[in-house]
Amino acid sequence: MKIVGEEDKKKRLLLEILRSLGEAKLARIQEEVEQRRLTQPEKYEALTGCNLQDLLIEMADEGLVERIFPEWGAPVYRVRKK
Amino acid sequence: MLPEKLRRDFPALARVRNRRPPVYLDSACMSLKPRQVIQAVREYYELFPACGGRGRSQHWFAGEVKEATERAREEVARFINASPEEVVWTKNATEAINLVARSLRLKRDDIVLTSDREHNSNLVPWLELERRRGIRHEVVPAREDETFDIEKLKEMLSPEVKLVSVVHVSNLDGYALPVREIVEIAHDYGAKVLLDAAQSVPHRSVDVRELEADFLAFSVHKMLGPSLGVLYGRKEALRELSPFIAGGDTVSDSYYERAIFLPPPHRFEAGLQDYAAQIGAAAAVGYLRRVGMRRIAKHERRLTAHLSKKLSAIEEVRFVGVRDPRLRSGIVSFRLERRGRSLVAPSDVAELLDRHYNIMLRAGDHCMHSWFNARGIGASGSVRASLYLYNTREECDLLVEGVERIVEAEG
Repeated sequence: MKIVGEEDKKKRLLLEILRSLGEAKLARIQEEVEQRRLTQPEKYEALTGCNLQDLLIEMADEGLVERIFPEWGAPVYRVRKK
Repeated sequence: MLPEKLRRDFPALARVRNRRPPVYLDSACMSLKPRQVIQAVREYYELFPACGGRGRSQHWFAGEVKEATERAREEVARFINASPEEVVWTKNATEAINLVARSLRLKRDDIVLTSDREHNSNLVPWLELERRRGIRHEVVPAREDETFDIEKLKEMLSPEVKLVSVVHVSNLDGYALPVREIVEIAHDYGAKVLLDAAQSVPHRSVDVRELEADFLAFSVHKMLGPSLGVLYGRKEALRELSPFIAGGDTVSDSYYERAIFLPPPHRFEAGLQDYAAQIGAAAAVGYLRRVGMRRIAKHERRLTAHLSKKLSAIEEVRFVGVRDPRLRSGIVSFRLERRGRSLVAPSDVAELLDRHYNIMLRAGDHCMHSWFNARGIGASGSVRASLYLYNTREECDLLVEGVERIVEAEG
């Protein structure tokens, strides 16, 4: 994927976070984003006020991440392997 | 409880998806519409879809539009115990607040006070005036239990405070601020008061004469009507406002050099209006009046107490907003947490409830980012269930069942 612009910057950051988490639910991803925004505000500022669920769904539609639904419960996200 | 047969007036409630009916718990955002309102709007489009307003067309259809919209203004005014000339049509409550913000003659260093639980509609306009005109916007912090701190307001009031602009009932948790007291104290200091009544007028009896606020903004689409806003302004207060959006219907005469503005409310209603929505607004307040605002408020209080009690039995539910459940009216906000950490993201909770139970509610910051950011929960917000006259105990029980199932799935 060619990454350009503000939206793509957000996606690139989110992919980086998701890679480090392996696979995670939205609550865990939100927590990690908040943590990184506190410790490295300059790098992760782009994710401020961003609707992570919308972004992750968009990334799933684009084939960047997998959105896996358990039988009952919140979906799990992981980076799609090429 | 209100009679079940009332639900038959709402066509959307008759829909079915996956063999389940809809459970609509998002009325704080947009209410459902009864067939009486739909019919009124339809009649306009079918029978007399012409322009209204002063100094426009004079024909048969236009006459009917004029008559119906004048009656609508009278009906809506009567609903809040105002005079028709004190009712200004706007696009929504946000536009009504912006009208006051832009038209009140606020100058550099004048202070506008708000509470710390304002919707962006009653925060961002003041931040903009701070940036553009150099006014000062100050926030009255809440007490520890998240209730309004009237003593703090007294401390912050000064002759420089020109306006106190606060929410009447919060869209976060249904908490009603002590607005009667706020108005009285603010007036003692010579400050005007604007109330964001988007969550109060649809749910309780509001009498502007009793409240004595200078301005009051609300949205018709949150009270069974079409998308439309209302700004109430005390006659004298409206006269002090300069025109907001200028154009056709706001003036009695114009020359190449100047225009002569009409008195309120017409000077604030530029261009062709949403006549169908105004007519629908009359049908909506007529419907609410027939059911009875006191009955609606009582019904919602009972449901809120029931829902709060049942949800509080789930260990992982953490309520957001006022601590005392008795202070919540019609709105319950919560998060799912375990050992101080988010268990399931609010947007996931909303998605799961929608997918499996057809339960429609809202997740996120509810346009109150400032409140969530100040408390360190800005990234995810809360789940919000907002109730109205058509909701039932059984629907509340279903929500609780769904939440229990989500928690169980997390192990």
